[in-house]
Amino acid sequence: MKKLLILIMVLALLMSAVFTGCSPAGKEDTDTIKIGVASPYTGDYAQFGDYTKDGAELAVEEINKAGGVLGKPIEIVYGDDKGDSKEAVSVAQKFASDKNIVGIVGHFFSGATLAAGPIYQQNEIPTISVASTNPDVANIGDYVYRINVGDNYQGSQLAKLLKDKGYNKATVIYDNSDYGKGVSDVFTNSFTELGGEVLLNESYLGGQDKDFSLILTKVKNSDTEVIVLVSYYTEASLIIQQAKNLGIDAPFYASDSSYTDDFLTLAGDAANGVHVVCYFHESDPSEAAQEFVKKFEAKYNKKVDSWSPYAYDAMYVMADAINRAGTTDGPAVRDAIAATEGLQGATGVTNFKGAREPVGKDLIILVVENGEYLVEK
Amino acid sequence: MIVQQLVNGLTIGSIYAMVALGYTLAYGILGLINFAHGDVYMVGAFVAYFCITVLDLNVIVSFIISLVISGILGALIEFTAFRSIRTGSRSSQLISAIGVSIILQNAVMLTMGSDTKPFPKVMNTSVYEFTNITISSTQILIMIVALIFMIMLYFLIYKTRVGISMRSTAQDAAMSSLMGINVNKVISITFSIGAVFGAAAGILVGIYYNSIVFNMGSSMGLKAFVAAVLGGIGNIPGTMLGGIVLGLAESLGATLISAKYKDAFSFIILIFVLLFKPTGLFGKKEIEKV
Repeated sequence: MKKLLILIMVLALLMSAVFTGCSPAGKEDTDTIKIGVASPYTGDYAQFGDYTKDGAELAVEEINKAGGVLGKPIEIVYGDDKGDSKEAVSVAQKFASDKNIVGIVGHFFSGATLAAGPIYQQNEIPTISVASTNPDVANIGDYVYRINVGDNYQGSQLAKLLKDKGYNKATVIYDNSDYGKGVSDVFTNSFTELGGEVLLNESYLGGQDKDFSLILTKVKNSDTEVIVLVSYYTEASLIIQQAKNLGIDAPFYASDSSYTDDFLTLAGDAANGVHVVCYFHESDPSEAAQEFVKKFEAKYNKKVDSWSPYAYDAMYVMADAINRAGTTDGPAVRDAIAATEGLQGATGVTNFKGAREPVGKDLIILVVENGEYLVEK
Repeated sequence: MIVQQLVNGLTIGSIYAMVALGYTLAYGILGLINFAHGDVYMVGAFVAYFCITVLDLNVIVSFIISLVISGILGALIEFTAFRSIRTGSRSSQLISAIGVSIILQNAVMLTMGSDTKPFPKVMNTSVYEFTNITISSTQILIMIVALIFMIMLYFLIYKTRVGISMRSTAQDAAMSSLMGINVNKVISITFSIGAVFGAAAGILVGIYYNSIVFNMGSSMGLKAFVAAVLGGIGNIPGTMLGGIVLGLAESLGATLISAKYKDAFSFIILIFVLLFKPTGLFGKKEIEKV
């Protein structure tokens, strides 16, 4: 009996601790402004996490050197979502339970942002996602923004480009994720509207499938003139190598998610001649972009990738919004983000103008030659 | 196109068969499903990767080193995880196996990193085109190596003294022990052989796909387990055929229906086999020993 009583008391104690955690206790006065930065830092997609980290850290270093936000330095709190929607939810819950976190930069994958976004929305934590391109990300709610243009843009631009190059019969191979389905759908619709024909629409399970010979044999036996690959770099490299082994000659156009250095390492010789879409390239002529490239190379001693400038800009937009809001309260910061207009960053000018994604940032088509990315002329 | 898909299916089926043999050997001799086997397959690939890239060794030497280390690992797993609970309940053996699987995966993740590694190019892949099939040299390599390994296993089991003691231990361990067979040693050898098969398959997969990752063993382990059950777990020729049948079924399913459901086919097959022929396509009816 006594044991039971003790058990009940311990449980009650635990419950009370849990519930106080949930109650909307006011923010403590802290010495730093905490911002959550969520991305896959381990696992199959870890390189994307490094991109976010590099960009965000560079921005924070500069912001803090210039006096911080509201007179306090920014402190980054990392959340590793491993690129997985389920993990993203637990990261979001962890962030949401820490009342000192005033904003989120991330998540990276569309699937992760779509899963975690509603939690930030509910807890009124302003979020600026990096690289989550699925069209639905902009519809989660008024607390969730993204710093880059979406797949509607990428899919339709790609369709137009291929049609202009004279291709009429295409095949799409896509990762069965929110991102992959998004790009594939938009591309298929736009390409068909332009008068082209999508012969095959094949998908696979990212992170599980290693053998694509079954899909590729189907492609080989169709009249495909060009293959659009909406896939992350690990699978993209496998697909391209296996296509080569099967003797497929049709050119590959890979979506932005393949654009990493690991893609070149993993794919080796097979990568030569593959076209890759990217959102940022070091050859971008704008002054802000060139300044970013210089600072990035000085700090990290490596080449700029597609996404760290976006993480960098997202951090700046967040800091700028908190400064303008004059407080760290969620609703006030949200309103300030929504009002962001004409903010010059490495990736161009960010205008939210009522939409939750920027307008007018462009994509770049690269082609791999001798194991290096070059801008296609 | 069907012929081409059959070639693809045969390649992956040979790999399934090799990994599945590890399950069958462990099950045949101990009645135990060794779920750590998929991770031995992964460790084999990583040891070869380490030998080639870090130690800069020749591919054949690396292959042999990897097989030896995996063989020792197989015996070690049996010694640490299964020997003391050999007479225990099946569920504790199963849990022990899953524990080993988690340890191996995490050990490799911590030492080698969690990202996908490009397996070094050990041979120039050439592609042969025939009228309606294309076959690459790596595919041929996989089929030949798998065939050689299976023939070797067949001779080992049916024509050597070790094989005889393995078969007798599988039939009745206590009786074999009375006849002067060192049962513990035989069981260790059996696990080693299973591990060597797994490791060889791991290296072949590394060469075929040019990439390896620390969790590559889990999905392959499951597939190979299905292959073993399909052919009749415990039955060596049956398991070999089971692997090949599974590879072919997947490729036919992918061609006729959709590649999206490739994995679903293997599990649907598993369910049907368990429903209608629980001993597997080539398995014998087992009489529970009392």
